[in-house]
Parts: sequence; C-alpha cells; structure tokens
Amino acid sequence: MPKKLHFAIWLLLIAVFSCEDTEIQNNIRVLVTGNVIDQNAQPIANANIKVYADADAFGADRVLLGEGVSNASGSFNITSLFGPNQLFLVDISSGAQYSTYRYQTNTEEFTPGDLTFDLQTVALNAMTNFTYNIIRESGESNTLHYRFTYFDANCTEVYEEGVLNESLSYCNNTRVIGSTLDDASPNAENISFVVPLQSQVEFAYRFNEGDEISEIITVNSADYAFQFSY
Amino acid sequence: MRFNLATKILIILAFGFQLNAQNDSIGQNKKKSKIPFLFDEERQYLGAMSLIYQSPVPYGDNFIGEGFEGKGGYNFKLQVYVFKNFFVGFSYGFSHFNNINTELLGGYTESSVEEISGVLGYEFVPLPKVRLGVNASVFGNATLTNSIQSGYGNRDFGKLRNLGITLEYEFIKNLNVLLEYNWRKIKSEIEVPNELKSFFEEGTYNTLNIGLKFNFGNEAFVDKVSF
Repeated sequence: MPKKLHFAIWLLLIAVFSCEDTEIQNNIRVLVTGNVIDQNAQPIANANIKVYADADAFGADRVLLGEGVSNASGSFNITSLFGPNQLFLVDISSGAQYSTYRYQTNTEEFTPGDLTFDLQTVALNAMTNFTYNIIRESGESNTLHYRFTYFDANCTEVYEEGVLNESLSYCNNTRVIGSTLDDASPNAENISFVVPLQSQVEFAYRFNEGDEISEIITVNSADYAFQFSY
Repeated sequence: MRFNLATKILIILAFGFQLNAQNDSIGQNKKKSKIPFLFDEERQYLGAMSLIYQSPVPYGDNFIGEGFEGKGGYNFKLQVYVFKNFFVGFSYGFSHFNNINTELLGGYTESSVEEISGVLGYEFVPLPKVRLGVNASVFGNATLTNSIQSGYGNRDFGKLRNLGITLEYEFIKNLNVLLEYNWRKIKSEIEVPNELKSFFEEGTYNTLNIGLKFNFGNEAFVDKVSF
C-alpha cells in the first residue's frame, strides 16, 4: 500500500474518532433572562431569542436548546436545556429591520451557580439600507478611489466564566466598503449595505492622484440614498 | 418500606373488609361473601395480566400541565391476588406527549414518559360479571425522554405516584374488558433555578385507559400455598 494512502487513512481515522457530539445534560434546565430595547431605549416586543449549544468540533451539530420571544415590555425569560459544550450561544434578533446580538460562553468551563444567564439589557439598533450611486461625468481617463466607513451594529459578546472578554467580543466595530472607478468600470450603481439608522457614515474619496477628501453622512431616514458624481 | 397515605388507607380498608367478611362466614359454608360485593369465590383467580391503551391528559400549574399535550400510550400490568381480591402487582407503560410550550420547558418537541411501579389494590364484585377496583402505586419511577432533533435528546427522572380506579366486565370466561382512570404525579429530580422550582418540582396528569385483562388460576395465592 502506498505510503500516502496509508497516511490518508490514518488521518481519516483520527478525524472520525476525534468527533465530539454536542452534549445535552440530563435532569437540568437553565433560565435565560434579559430585556431588549432599541437605540432610543424603547422596548422591543416579539424579539426572537434562541439558545444553542455546539461542541464546536468536527461533525458536531449546533443544537437548539430553547427559544422564545420578548414580551410587550421587552423582557424575556426562556427556559432552556443545558450541557457542557465549547459554545453556549444566545441569539437575539427582531427581523431584518434590527441589528442582531449574540451572547457566547463556554459551558465546559462555566455553569452559573444559580443556573441563570442574565443578559440584562440588550440594545438592538434599527437598521436601514444605505444605497449609493457614483456616476462619472468628467469624461474618460478620470479615476476615483472611494470608500465608505460605517458601524456594524451586529454584536457578539464573549463571556469567560461570567466575565465579558472585550478582546474576543465583536461589537460596534467599523466596516469598510470601497473600490476604484476607472475606464473599465466608471460608475457604481445601486450598491447597498446595511447601517444603523441615525448613525454616521464616512465617505472618503480621491479624484485621480489628488488629495483624499472625506465627508460625514448622517443616515437620518430609512432606505437612505446617496448620490455622487465626479 | 414507605407508603403514601392513600396506599395505607387502601391496605387497611381491604384487609378490614376481608377480616370482617371472614368472621361473618365462620361456620357458614358459603361460597359468597355476606357482603356480596367484596368477593365472589366462583370468580376467584390467582392472577391477571392487562394490556391497556392509555390516553394521558395533562393538568395543573406545572411543567406537564402547562407544557404538554397528551398523545397516547400503553400499559402492561401483572397482578397476583394475594388474599381474596387483594392484589399486588407490577405496572409498566409509556405515555407520549407533545411539548406545546418550548419557552417554558426547553427546546424539545416531544417527550415519552416511561412509567414503572409496583401496584397494590383491591377489586370489589358488585355484580357477578362486574369488577370495580382501586389501586395505588408503590416505588414508582418515571423517566421522561425528551426528543430535540434527530439524534439528540435528554432525559429527566422522577418518582411516580399513581392512584387508579377500574371498571371491568367479564365478557368471556377469564377475559375482561377494562376501563380505567388514573391520577398520576411525577415528583421530578430536575435541577432548575429557584424561580422555576415550584413549576418543575412535580408534574400531574390523568390517564383514561381501555384494555383487556386475562385472568388465570382459580384460587388466591395464600390458598394455593397453604396446606
């Protein structure tokens, strides 16, 4: 048998036998509780809360342990199954018009003493489409380098033994989208990305080899449309 | 050996009636009791075996009452008449439920309750072919198998309490059709936060049953072993 085939079989065996199933413990429930508000501190009713466990290993499934919705005052109390896994996730969302939130911890290392995961107050931002059109009017051979910098309102908070680890978390990060327009592609038409409503977007551009110019755009209406010509 | 109050009352009543009936019949060579509904020696059996379909009906402000919807189930019961119509036995069965409130119970869709217990009871004979029985469980255990997704699930354990009444009609010799009502309580061992303790510490449901009972033997156990 060729050595390479031998090696591949060994690798396959190691992969198969290193599989770890997502574990659901017998005889236990936990409570996931909190309150969902929007960017104006108004309660969000009927926000979806889903609790997952995931062994985070080859072949392991993400298993839904519990689910429910927030009430009229934005609060929720979800009874969930529980197990010791690499990932214990609580996902909160309220349709496409709001940002999402994820609580993440490792329940192999941590089980709260009172069997309660209190997420306290979770703020979801209203989101909207930001659509831009950049049209060349200055004739051939002109080039525009541009970029938009905006906030990503979707948030993942990672907790270790009940304490927030900010370096592993991903909240209020900035995102950049941009390109270069030239003779091959002179216009950018109807390109969209999603931003928090009432947030600011920085538009920076450089015409040919000139200096970079930037301007701040406040997204103050739903389905915001931005027009620019060069 | 610990019995609940209902079981103790049942045992005392059964033995009390029997002793009373025995005293009355001393010196009177009768086949039937002076209190005729207590027993009928023409229909004395050694034991019986029942196969039953059961329909569970959850109730109460607890995890079964609020979160489950009954689907059906089966029960098998073996009983031995120790003395006259006082019997001891063994009961094994399943009750199946849908989880209709995952927000209250957890993210599983179905639950099957495996019910195992010893049984004590007494059967009265108000009419020649009719039996009216009462029974209670002893040392009952319940295992709830919760199904989450294909291949995933967990189990909850608890102590089972059961009180039942039966109505039987012997339509063929040694074969009875049986109707039964049971009250069941599972005292669960589920570990939960303090806020959920009262909700999860016990679950209650009734079962309405229909089945067949096969009788065997023609004398009670004490008569069979006495010389």
